[in-house]
Amino acid sequence: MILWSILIGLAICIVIGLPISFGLAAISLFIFFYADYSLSPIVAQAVNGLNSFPLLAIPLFILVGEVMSQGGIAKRLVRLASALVGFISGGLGQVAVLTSMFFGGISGSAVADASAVGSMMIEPMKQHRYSASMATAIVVAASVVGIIIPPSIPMILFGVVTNTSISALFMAGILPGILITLGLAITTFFQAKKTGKAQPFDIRELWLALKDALLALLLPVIIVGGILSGVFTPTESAAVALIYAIAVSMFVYRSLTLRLFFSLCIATGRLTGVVMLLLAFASVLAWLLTANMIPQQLVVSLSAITENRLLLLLLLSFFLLVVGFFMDLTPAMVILAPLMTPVVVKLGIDPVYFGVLMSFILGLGLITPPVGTVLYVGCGVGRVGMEALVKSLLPFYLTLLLLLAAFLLFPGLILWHQ
Amino acid sequence: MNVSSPSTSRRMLALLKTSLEVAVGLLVVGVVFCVVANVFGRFVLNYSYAWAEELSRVLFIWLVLLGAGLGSIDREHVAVSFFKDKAPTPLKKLFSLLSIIIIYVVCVCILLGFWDQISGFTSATPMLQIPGTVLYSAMPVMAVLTLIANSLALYHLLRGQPQ
Repeated sequence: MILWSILIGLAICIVIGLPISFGLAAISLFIFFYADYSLSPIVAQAVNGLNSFPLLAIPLFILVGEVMSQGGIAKRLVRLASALVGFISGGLGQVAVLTSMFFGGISGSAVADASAVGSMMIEPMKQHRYSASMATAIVVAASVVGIIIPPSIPMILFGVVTNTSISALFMAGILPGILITLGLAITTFFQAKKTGKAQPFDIRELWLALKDALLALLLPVIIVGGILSGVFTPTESAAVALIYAIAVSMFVYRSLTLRLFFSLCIATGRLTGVVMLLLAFASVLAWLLTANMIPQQLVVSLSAITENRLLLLLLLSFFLLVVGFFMDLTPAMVILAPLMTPVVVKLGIDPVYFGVLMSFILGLGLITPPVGTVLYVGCGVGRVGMEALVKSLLPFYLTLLLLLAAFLLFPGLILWHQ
Repeated sequence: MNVSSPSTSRRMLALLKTSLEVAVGLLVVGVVFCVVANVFGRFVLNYSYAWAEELSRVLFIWLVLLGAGLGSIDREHVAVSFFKDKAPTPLKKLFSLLSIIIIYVVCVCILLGFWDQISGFTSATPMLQIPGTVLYSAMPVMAVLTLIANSLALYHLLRGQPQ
């Protein structure tokens, strides 16, 4: 009954356009009335869901991303990427892909990645004989890397709701993130070959760009290195990264004022509120699911279908892809991760592997129609229609699906560090 | 809300939004301060400030729920508008009305649930002895802000000017 209420409730939400967070609350309330619960858990469980120290990493990473894109860092990353890969055919496209990877090492969100890189790269690409839809497609596809390369907000959410080590998830994301970047770079090479090079290779410019971007590049090193060496927890590393980002933008690049910083804090607060309200109400639902032993029942019924790991993963991946067409990453992650993870763990699949896989598949949902946040951002920033953009994205979808197949067939690509 | 003088109500709404923005901004600064204090204590002074961790979580809960209230007023909550946008106008209005009714029910239930919650026993935080009521009362504040936003949406829907 509970699972059906959730499915039907979410379908209603999607059809009538009700905000998903309030839809989740309404579904919980419906179950409360049906099963004669008191109303207090809607408050208590929602607040308890938020009462967790690892979650604090999320506003901090959002703020780091804001500071870095406003504080002159993004500009320097573009210059470095140009010097590194601008001489390859389809040079500017390659620059956009590489900048996305650098930026993903700071921001942890595909949306931030697409809007920051898009606002800097799409115009120059258009001037360089790229069609608007091709230029935007490259940026949109490349932004998926932002959620796989650590830090990653979806992985923090996965870690919190399934009690999996966030550090281990971050570590596991590095190699897939690099492979995705490579895959997209190769696709861009074939798609944008005729646009020619962006700039000739010049070792002097590379040296200058590297020197200029050195302080910026240290940031991903601090974040990733600090977490992976076990010195920092993800929340602590976010705090250290933030202090570093503020210091560099304020005192070295001199492009961050206190007033600007406060406005970035407000923007961060808004975004945090919207994202985390979903988690709060999903926690009420998760509490109901656990109290009624739904994950255990799901394990039994799914194990009855198949005991084959690969087949189960294929089934779940297909389901997640379909969910991604209609639902945003955050609600899908906080609703489905606690349900699915016990099932895969029961079959002996590493939760870290599943967490990275799930982040990647739901990340694809961000760039697939009809509902895709990054797709919408792309249409806005690149000023292109959805249909044209999706058409230009087709070869990139193919590449990303091939990569997904590779991650499914060779789990070692994600569990490379073990 | 006094709907008969739109300029006064608009000004009040603007004032509410600005105060919320400042509050949310300050809460972000507060969370940052606490986490940084904790890191500084642990790595530089070799001493862990338990109060900073505890306070940061309390501030975070308020940050999220006030931020969500602000999100309600600015209609920033994640929703799928694909099907609604495709629907013919009368159906679109019906969908909007349904959403508004559901949000009313959710917010009223949150207020009642809060009442239930604080009438029972709530424990305080271990270090700073912050009463549980302080944590939980962020929820009704979010609900009231959402109720205001929802009433505005209803007003615009009935007047035939969707926001």
